[in-house]
Amino acid sequence: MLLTVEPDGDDPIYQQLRDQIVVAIAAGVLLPGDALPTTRQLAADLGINMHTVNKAYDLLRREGFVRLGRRTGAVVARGPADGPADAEDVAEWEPRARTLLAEAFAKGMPPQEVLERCQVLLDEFTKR
Amino acid sequence: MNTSSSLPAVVPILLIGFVYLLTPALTPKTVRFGVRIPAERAGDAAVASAGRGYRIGVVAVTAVALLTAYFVAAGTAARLSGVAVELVGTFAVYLMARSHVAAAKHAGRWFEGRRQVSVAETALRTRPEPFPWAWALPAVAIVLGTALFGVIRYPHMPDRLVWRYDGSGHPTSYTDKSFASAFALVGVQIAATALQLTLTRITFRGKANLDVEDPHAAERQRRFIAAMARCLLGLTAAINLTLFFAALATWDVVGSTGWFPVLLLAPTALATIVLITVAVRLGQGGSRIRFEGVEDVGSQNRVNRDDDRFWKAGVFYFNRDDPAVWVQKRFGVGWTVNFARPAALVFLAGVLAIVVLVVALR
Repeated sequence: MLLTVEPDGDDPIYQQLRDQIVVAIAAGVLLPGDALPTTRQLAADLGINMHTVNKAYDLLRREGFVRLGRRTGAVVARGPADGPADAEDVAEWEPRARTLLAEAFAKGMPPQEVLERCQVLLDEFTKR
Repeated sequence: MNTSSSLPAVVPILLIGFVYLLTPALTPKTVRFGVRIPAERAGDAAVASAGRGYRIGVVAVTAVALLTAYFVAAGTAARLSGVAVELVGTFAVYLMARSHVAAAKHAGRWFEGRRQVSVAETALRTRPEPFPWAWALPAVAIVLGTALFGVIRYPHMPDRLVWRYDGSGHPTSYTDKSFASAFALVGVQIAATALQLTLTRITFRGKANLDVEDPHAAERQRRFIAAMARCLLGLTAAINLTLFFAALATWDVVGSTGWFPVLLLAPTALATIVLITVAVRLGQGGSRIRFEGVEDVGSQNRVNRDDDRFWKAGVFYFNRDDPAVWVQKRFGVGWTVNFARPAALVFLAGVLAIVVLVVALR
């Protein structure tokens, strides 16, 4: 899969990497057991600092998405089928979802449209 | 001036000129004369005029270099002065073309409003292209064959072995036969093979320069490294063959005069021609490979990151943040080092040491 980073973007690079990997897991592009490049390889390929990649992988590890091995690098640890989100995960995610929905609503997007667009996005993941 | 002694000078000068003339066409369209540009600017008038000036410049420099070799000096001095003029001159022409493109880029603000990104294909790491180890076997076999031949031949070798020849194959100095002197060339074969195998393997796994606007970017990289590795391993075998022939001469198995000098260099010359031909066909990083189908013009306004600041003079890569030691060249086909990495400097120091050693031993 392609990983793209925008050094001058709004989000920090490690966040961009983490987000793309999470989306890939949701969409089934990355399956549990799939390998990711090692920190050094990915940093070299993107021309970025190894610390940045480390940060991204570490964040994914703490979120339970990847496992880090010494030799094997990062491996995808879970996918959508691996058990429901626990209360903690939902509690962590909900405020961010709230912000996103607030942005849309505050800019005048009708609630119905917001829901429809959300459904379209979800379909991307469930249809794979 | 001496015609026959300045003739060998002509070949390297023409070769350098030829390679320099070809090079602009071999670079990816997002890098022109060592300057990063958005893909759609590859056809810009400034780039085209830089290219014209460059070609005229290279031809002019080559002509001057040839005249220098022919009229100004003779013998070795002719070779060196002509080649020096060619190298310095072509590099200067390149720098001028580069500043022309860079100036147009800055004046035209070509990157303004564009989202600059870097792209990596994880599959290149998680499902890497298999290294063609089988292609290394001929090189190794030739070394073993040479060594074996030498062992069998050793009792029949003359007591004094030739140590140096002149350009037409006549011996110019001798040395006493010993294990070291008889197998010196085998030693060179081993060292050269080890070095070339290592470098080929390292650059094979080196970072790709993926073009964010190109959907076939990863495939280009795969084909490029696969072909280049095979060519380089073939060249390694050819060099070993050349050394084998040289050994045959020093071991008094064959005569070293007449057509022999040509025969000696033939394998290496042929393998080099193959390498250059393949490099020209593929372009740097596979940029010249043609793919079927419509090119997907990304609608996201994304362009390859403007990384000019890491490329000093457009040829020396210096990036502290980048852990890669070997990177693909910007102007030319092949690889160069990241001068910000200590490992690269150690490697260069090592190469320098070897060169100094070889020169000192002569």
